[in-house]
Amino acid sequence: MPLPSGIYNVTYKKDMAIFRTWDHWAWLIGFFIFLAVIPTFATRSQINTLITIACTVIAVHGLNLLTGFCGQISIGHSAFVAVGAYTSAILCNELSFPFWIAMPLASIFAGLVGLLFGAPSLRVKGFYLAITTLGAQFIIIFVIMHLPSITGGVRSLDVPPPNLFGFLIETDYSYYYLAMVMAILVTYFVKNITRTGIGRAFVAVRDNDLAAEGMGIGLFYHKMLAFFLGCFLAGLSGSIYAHYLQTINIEYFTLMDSVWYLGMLIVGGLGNTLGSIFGVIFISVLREAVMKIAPIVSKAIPSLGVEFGAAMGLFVMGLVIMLFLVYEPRGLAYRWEVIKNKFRLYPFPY
Amino acid sequence: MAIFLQHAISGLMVGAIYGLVAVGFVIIIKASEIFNFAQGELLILGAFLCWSLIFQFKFPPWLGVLAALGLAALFGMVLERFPLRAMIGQPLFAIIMVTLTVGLCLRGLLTAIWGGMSWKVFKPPLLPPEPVVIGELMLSQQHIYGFFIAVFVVVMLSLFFKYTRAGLAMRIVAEDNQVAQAMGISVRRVFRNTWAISAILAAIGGILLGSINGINIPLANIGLKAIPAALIGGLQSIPGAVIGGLLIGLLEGLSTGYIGHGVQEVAAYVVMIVVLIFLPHGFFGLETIERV
Repeated sequence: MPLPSGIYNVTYKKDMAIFRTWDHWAWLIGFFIFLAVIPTFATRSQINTLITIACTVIAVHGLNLLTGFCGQISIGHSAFVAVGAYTSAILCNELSFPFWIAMPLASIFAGLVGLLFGAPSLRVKGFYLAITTLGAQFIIIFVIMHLPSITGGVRSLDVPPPNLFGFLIETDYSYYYLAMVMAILVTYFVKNITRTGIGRAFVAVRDNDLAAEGMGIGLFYHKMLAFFLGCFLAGLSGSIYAHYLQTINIEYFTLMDSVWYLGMLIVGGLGNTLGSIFGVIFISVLREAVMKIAPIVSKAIPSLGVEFGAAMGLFVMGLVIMLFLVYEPRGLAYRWEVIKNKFRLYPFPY
Repeated sequence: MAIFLQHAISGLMVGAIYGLVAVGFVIIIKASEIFNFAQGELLILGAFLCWSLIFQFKFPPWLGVLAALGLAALFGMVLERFPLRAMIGQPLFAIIMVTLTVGLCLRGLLTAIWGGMSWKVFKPPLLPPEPVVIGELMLSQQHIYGFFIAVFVVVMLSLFFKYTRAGLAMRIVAEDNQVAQAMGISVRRVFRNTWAISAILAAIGGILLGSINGINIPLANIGLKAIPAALIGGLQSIPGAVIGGLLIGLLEGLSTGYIGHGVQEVAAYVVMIVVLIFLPHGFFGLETIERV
């Protein structure tokens, strides 16, 4: 990545900095202030969308570590989100744990379940492993459905609102801050993991696992670590989402959601922390747009039938992800870099 | 014993159809290393087309079935042209995602045309519905026909691979694309034929299942059961896919009979994971030997 004119890396610390110049910091602080003041003017449905985006960003960061960086394809990510959501709910309901203890415990439990389904990666890889994670999707949801005494089975399960050190976070507006802060912390955490030795080992495992092992990178250890971290973040996302909705149902964690997580990763760009955020925002906005447009279209042409909205959503989002795969496989994050570099050097061509 | 046989045989009958769909999945992998997650959607596409042709356009049943198979083959060829030809040689993840999204688009399209949850029932049915009684067993005649049609199709397919020029070309392409090209075989045409055959196999499976139980969109999830069948058999083996399909069918029949309804949804995956841990390439898959 070329540096702006006149900026040189004179110290190691400067070389490693994520935000290099004062205007980077100004943009960052400006962005945080913008996020902080959004609830003062946003409507309730916009806040709901933003909270959902924040939760999804956390889950997609996990998937990005697992699939984008370590190359272990997971088609069952929403099942791990479900594990986090249900564990957190059960801990709060049955054992009346406070939220701030239940959340990390639920995440760790989701990570451990991830280890269970990642364990075959010792023997199988590539397509076979992808199908194993697809199996995880079906098996986990099946188990949740068939333990009705503690999970409620197919019925919804009530989740208490979080109580943080005496503050009851009940309204959407206060929950917005909780979700955003968590999303920002997770982004920071993931960005830094990918810059350390672990992240570089993940990339080596993804690019050529035999060469990586030849260079002394423990394959099994790193694959397991990727599964643990990916599913940990999925569980965290599920826990936060469950306490936000205050009611969870098995219907929220379908195979389709797993596919959307993968789609967000592709649209944003695999193996790029910023990409996960772009992808989530893009797909979420697209989904909202389709949900707004579909009723208008089906009202204009009534012969299309009542199911047209759902059908159009599937079709449009599938098509968008497919077109991204064929024409822009490096995703929005790459396009963003290209545009940024153009502006950085403007008016010179290079 | 009679109950056991009853469950086992009805499971095997459905398993033959899974095997058929799994064979379609495997031949695409053999030709072009593409894992087709849209197999289930191709299956309901064929079934819906057949239903529409016979009951909406009033085709005679034999013509309706043939026309549906022809249209399905055509659709398979179109899919091969875009987007899947662009995906050859791409990373595994891109291939998986493209076929998944093709499946989603197709699902959306089919929902828009034929409606989501409503069942489309073949009435009058294509196959005679009366059950037959053999000894203590009561077997559905449709299942028996379905089983033998599936077996017949697989046998015909293996004869096609063995004795025709096009089949020979497909076997060479499965061996090595570049060698095939050097021998003057049009690899593109082979890919096109492969997709057409795969779509036809899925459509036959769809028409058989549809004529037994009726069709709706969730029937496409059968495609997700053909995948464990193909994996248990080994991804590169056509007999393996048939055996895997029969095994999954047997397993579903027995688990529904003895454990309870709903277990069949996951039984296939549990067994698949266990098999993969001990035999990472399934029963007959191509073993890749890697050493560091």
